[in-house]
Amino acid sequence: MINETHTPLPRRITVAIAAGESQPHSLESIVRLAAGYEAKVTGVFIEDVDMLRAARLPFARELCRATNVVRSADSTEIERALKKRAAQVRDLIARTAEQAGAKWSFEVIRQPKARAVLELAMQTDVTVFAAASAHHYHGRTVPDIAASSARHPMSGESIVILVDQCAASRRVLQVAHILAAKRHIPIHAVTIAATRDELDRLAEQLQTSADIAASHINGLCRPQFNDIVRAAGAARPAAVILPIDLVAGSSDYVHELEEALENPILIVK
Amino acid sequence: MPGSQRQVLEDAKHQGVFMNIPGTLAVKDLFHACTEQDLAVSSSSEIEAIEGVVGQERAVQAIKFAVAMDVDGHNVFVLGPPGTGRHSFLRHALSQAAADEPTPSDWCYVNNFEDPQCPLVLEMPAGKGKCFAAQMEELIEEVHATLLAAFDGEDYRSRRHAIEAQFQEQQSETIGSVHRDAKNRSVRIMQTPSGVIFAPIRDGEAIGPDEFEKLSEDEQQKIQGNVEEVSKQLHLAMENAPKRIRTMREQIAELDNQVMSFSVGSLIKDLITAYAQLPRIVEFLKSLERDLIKNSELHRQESDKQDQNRQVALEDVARRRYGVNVIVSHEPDSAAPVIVEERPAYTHLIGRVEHRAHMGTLTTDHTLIRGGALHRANGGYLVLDARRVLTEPFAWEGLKQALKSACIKIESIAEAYAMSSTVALEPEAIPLKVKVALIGDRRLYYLLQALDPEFDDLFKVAADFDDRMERTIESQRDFARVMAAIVERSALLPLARGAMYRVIEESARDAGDHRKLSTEFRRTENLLREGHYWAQHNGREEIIAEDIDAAIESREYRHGRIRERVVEEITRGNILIATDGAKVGQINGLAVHQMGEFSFGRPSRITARVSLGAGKVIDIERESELGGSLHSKGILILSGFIAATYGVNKPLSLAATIAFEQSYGGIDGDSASSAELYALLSAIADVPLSQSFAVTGSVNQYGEVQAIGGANEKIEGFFDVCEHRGLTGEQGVLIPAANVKHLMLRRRIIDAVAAGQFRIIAVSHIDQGLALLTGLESGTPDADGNYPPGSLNFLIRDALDAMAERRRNFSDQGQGDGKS
Repeated sequence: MINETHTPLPRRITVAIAAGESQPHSLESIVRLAAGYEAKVTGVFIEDVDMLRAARLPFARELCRATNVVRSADSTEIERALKKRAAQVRDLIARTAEQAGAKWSFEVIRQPKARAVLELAMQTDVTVFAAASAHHYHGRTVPDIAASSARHPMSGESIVILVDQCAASRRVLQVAHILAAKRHIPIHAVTIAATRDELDRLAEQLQTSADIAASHINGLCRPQFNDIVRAAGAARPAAVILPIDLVAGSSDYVHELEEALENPILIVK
Repeated sequence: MPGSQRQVLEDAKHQGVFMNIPGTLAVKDLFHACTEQDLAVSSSSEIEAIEGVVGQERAVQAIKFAVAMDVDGHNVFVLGPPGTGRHSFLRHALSQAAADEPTPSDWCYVNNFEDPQCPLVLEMPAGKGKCFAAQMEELIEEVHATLLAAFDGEDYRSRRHAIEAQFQEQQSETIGSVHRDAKNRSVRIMQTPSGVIFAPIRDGEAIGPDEFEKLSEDEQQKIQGNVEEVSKQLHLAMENAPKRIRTMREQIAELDNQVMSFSVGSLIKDLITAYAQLPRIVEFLKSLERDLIKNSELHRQESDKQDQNRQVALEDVARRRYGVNVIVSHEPDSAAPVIVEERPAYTHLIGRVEHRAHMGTLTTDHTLIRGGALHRANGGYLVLDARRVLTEPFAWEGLKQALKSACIKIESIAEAYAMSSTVALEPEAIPLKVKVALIGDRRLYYLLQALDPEFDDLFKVAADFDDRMERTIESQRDFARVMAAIVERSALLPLARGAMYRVIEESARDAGDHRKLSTEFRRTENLLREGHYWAQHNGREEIIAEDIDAAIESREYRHGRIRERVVEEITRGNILIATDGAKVGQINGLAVHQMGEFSFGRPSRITARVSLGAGKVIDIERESELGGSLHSKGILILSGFIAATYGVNKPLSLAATIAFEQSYGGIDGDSASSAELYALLSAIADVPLSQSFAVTGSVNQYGEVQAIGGANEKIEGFFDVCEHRGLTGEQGVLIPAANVKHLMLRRRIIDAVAAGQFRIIAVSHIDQGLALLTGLESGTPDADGNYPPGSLNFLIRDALDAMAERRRNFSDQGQGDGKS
């Protein structure tokens, strides 16, 4: 299952960017990845409907990232800021893709973010979205982290893959190898299976076919989804790559990933 | 003029009176040749060359005294004309003195980590400066490598990771608890472009305004309360974030300090031991260690391969921050320095702080401090050209300030004079112990003495180089040794005996005195080089007298355009100069024109006219503002002479005017005052003066003729004109008797005198000159003050008496008219 030989290369890569991501850190790496595959990059700016709904409530409150001051939310102002942000993202994708020599397109959609990501993931080979963990709230109040993130598009000590018995896990491994090779960092694998035997087989396959050290493999037997997320975050990942099968059941899984992690997440179909 | 008097003059000429006139100089008086008695060698190759200076005993003694005086303020001002060997002797003397003195310290500037605007200076033994700089460079590289290894090591990384993980955990826990509570309250925290918003959730989706309106009031209040509570919790959680970050940073800094102290301390310890005898350096090394620990990030970025440019910039910062700037370095046992600063601008003397452009801004640091000549000469000697120091802006003040304060403080001129308010470095001052030798001309020395009150305190020793020395057998031999040295140094052909004689004779002529020799050896050197040229030109293997003569003649020819033009204008009659006949109130004076180093004489016609008046002699040059004060003084003196000699009992009743004819430029000096007096007396007495003579010499109120300058050139100037018109045997020049010792005339004049074609007559009193020029006895007064009838003085007094009488008659007539 895990053997990546003869696995077709991804042809379509989608980068999903929402309003709160002040810096689409992963964008450059992903575009280069796409250029290497001769894949097409589609930038999708998500105007989160849930956020807009909440902003229109009469008691809506917004906590300013820069000042840590709670104030009344202004939906008109937020809509204007979204338009501006979408234009910036489009320019960024255009510039980055043209520099890397990748084909690209761009669109804006208005949907609940998690659902939008899930739908995009179902349609494209690889979907990348930025996590929005608690640390991202800090903005300028955590300047060293922000500065570090800005300098390092994918800062972290390893590429973390979540793999199970599904077919998409092969492409997860394939993408992980490319990213890890580019950044000279190891791959950590979180294996998921229903039994211990299956976990052992998965580990064996990873060690032999993918050359992943045993110490870098963490097996989870019948885990809850939050266990999987916690195991992924523990390895200080530069990126987390998972097969679509793990999140296909509900957009809540996407939401949970987004909340718990602080790095780019790649969903591979 | 009465006809009888004219006849007397003519008769005198025809009878050859002049030929036996007392004071006529013999050929031996006109030139003092160098002979075998003076110098008995056949070639310069037989003479031992002499290095150093000749004929400057006073100056030599002064320089030696200044060098030996180890007291502040005994700097030396070497004064005298150029070309006298001031520079070469001074360097020679200072080098000799310096050779026996210890090598001074090396000086370095280093960063002052407490106050980078004020770099520190370190003194260390000679030769150690560069060594210390290299050691420091090596240390920084070692520190860099050691720290890279330490900070890249697993131990450090895991300890740092633990600190960061702890922070992350706290942060995640804090924020996570807010998230969990938010989830329990069905509130989702969502990001907006500028912050976060709190969305109430129902069935996995945010509640919008329409849906909210449909809810019961209780539900609405509950939802609103939940949103407000979550926003408060997040707000509080965020408030503590900076404090947690600070704690994390402090812990990381502490960890860094531990790693740095361990890694750096051992490296610096060796240096501290090596320099234990130099407390300032030990102190610096300790502060360096503290700073390295404090600024560890300068050595920890290399692992970041994605930012090589930043890494290079950081390395540059580290190199500058910890670099040692060796301002002065000496080789051990190389003796005290002797520095000659040819261009003593302020910054070349005192030093400067340079700047580098970075991102459009000028920045500086201790590595950009540059030393000046004072730094290099510190502990030794500094030789400067006084005129250049004085003409370079601020250089003189800067030099004095350094000498007065006995320290060198590098200061920007702009800052010192408040012309710039930018932040500048203030490097620590360096103690100064230097002997300064200024070289300049006499005028400059006396001006400084007169105008700068600090000058005498700082330059207590004057080494006065004379432009002449006595011409003795000994000094002529020394002079020949100098010539031998020049021949040797300049690889010239050897000088034959005759050539050496000619050079010595020419030196005496340059000195303007046949009993002296010029000490302006630069002229001698030039003459020898040109003689060498002519010898080679003529295919000779040594320089002979004819080559020296050729060099002199060709030099005079090259510079002689104006002189020839003057002679031409005279012979063509454009400038009126008579060289024969006689005329009342008219005489040939002599002037010298100086054209750079070349000078020549030329005759000028001087005329005097008299009329009845109130005893006033009018100097036309003065009235027309062409005469200088010395010339006016001469006129006033001759007025005094006439009044005292001829008008003791009666008021002078004449009005006289005296003029230099065809003179269109300024005239100064009193060397024509005797000629003016002759012209005036001739006009008074109406006795003609011989025009075959030219006259030079000043006169005092007793009628004594006094010495003047440029006697040789003046004689030659008149001779040129006469020669051009044809020598008659009647022509000659009257010079003061005191000038006879100055004569070193050219060969062609001596030949003319020897052949009886030209004469040079020395006079010591006006009466002698008058007798010669008029052919009349001047006349000596008897006990009653009366002159012998028929004598020239008798005629003068008679004429003055007649004027006085006429004036009195006029006065009487005027009074009579008044009364009537």
